[in-house]
Amino acid sequence: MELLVSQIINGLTNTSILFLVAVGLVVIFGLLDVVNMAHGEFIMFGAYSAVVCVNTLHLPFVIAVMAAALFTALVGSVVERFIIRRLYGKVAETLLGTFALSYIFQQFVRSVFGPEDQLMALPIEATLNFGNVVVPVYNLVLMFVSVMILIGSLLLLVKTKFGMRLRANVQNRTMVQCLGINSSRIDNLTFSYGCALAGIAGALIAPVKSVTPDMGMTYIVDSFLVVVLGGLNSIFGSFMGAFVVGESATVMAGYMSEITAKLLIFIVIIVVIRFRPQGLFFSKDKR
Amino acid sequence: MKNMKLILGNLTIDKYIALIIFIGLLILPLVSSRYGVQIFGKYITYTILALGLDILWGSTGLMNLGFAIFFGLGSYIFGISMAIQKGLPAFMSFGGITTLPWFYVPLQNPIAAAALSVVIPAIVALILGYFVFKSKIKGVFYSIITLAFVALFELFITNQQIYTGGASGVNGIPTGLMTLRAFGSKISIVTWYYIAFATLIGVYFFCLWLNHSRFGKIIHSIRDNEMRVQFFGYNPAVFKIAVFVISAAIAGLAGLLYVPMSSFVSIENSGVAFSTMIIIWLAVGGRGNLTGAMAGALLVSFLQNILSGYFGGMWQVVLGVGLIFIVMVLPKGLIGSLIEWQYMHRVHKKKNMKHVSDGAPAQKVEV
Repeated sequence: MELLVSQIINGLTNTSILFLVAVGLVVIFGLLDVVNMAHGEFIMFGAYSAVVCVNTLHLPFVIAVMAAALFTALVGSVVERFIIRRLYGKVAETLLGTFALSYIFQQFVRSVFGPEDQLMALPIEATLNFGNVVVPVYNLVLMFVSVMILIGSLLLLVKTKFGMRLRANVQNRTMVQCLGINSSRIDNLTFSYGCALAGIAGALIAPVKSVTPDMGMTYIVDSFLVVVLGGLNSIFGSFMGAFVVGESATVMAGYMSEITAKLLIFIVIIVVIRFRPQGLFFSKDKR
Repeated sequence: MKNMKLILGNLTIDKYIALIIFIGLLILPLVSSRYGVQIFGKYITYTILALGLDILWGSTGLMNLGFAIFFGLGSYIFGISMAIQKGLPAFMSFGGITTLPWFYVPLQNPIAAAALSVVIPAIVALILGYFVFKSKIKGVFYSIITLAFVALFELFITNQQIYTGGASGVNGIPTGLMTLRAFGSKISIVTWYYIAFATLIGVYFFCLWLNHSRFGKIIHSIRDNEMRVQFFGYNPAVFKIAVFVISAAIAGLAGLLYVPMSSFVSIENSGVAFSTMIIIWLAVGGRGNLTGAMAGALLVSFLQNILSGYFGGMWQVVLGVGLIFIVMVLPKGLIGSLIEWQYMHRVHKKKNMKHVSDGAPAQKVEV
């Protein structure tokens, strides 16, 4: 029983991490139809920026997260401007182009920082005790931030003027242009926003996971699974997908080997897609 | 005679390049060292693998991000078979196994192992393909599922240390290879090279025939307009599963031939990273015309061998920049762009000839 409770709480932590790493992917794919294989490398950039800010510049962790978001948004903006912009509408090409980018980014970081693991101290060391179950406060922070990002992203899309333009741009690009809105600027901002989310995710997981040049690969597969399960264009769907994958993987891993747990989830995902080919929360009109 | 000349003149440029590649590979062992034969033997298995993906991605439009899994299955099955020829290999006895696990018993016979290393990938593809294509999963979803599948495979292999050698790979293959006999003598590396070469020729012509057969026409139509194929009364899922199985069998065959060339099998050549590499070969060479796949595999592997010696890790940057250049400037790949250029050239020539013979303004040539 104790094991079950502690695994469920651990599962919530994993859920928030999964959601954090997957949400940027959903924003970029759902709104721009770009399969960003370099997403893992943007997470890696975020993690490294946080490490540099905290370990070298001795800045507070909150500022490090903001700096990571800003830096990845900037890189994303440049990448969109010079490469992705020419590839819109060609899914296979965007996949290949971002593959190529991930090679370049990985090697760049490896030659600057070296291949070894970068260590980073937990910003909050305190723990909470629920009976016999010990929960680090930092895990609660992770959950809180991921819920905030979910709400914030949904509000940004639904309630703000930028969000309205963005949705309009996805639905009818020509009309948006006729109304005098700079649609390629909106594309650029959207891509940067997705990258900034990846940067925040990277900065937040840097204290709890290993930070290496090839860390992106470990997250990209999991985040794609989450996104496939939740629906490729629904932010709320990816939250639910992260919940299902994170919670079940962690709870099952308490009772069997991790590989069996992952295999079972993979089978579950295939079965779900069998009946809902577009994912659980796919919406026809893009949100 | 004139007819012959006409046929030769009408051949597209990719056939000539394929011929050049074949001749080059044929005479290579005569001029190269043993080491060169081994390296290019490995590349031949890569070209076979690339041909397998080409009929899947180039001809049918199914971008498989986890294609190395079938190559890996083939090479692991044959590699483990070689490793257990002379008793238990080191990785098993260190893991505390004293008798051969029951599922490895059939692999003691090399011929059965060779057959299984083609059949097992095909069966895996059949099962996965049945679930994926019957449920009408297509496009990016298919690619992502194959990516997840290969990631799982990698995890599985590295975790089953005592059965697969884990992250350090299968060792003890060379001693097993020494026990193989054909017509009473040992099989040398040059013989293996020519076996692989003959397989490459066979697979190339098989794929060529497949592309030009009725089956090929249907899979091309599935790539171009799946909805319309359905309207004509075909079931695209059946054809997709068939192509998937065929390409997986080809990849398994390539994996089998890879074992004698490298004498070593590890996750390096069956995981996510290698799958990406296969995709890059096809992107560089061009898809859908077979030669592009072969040329891409040879070119990228060769450059990787040369450049990673000079630049070390910086080779990845060179590869990335090159790939971005190809995606943005030559989206059809090197060979695909050559074919297009030759086509435009021929259309232009025809236009000019008409102009001269008629004495009238050139008519619009239908393209």
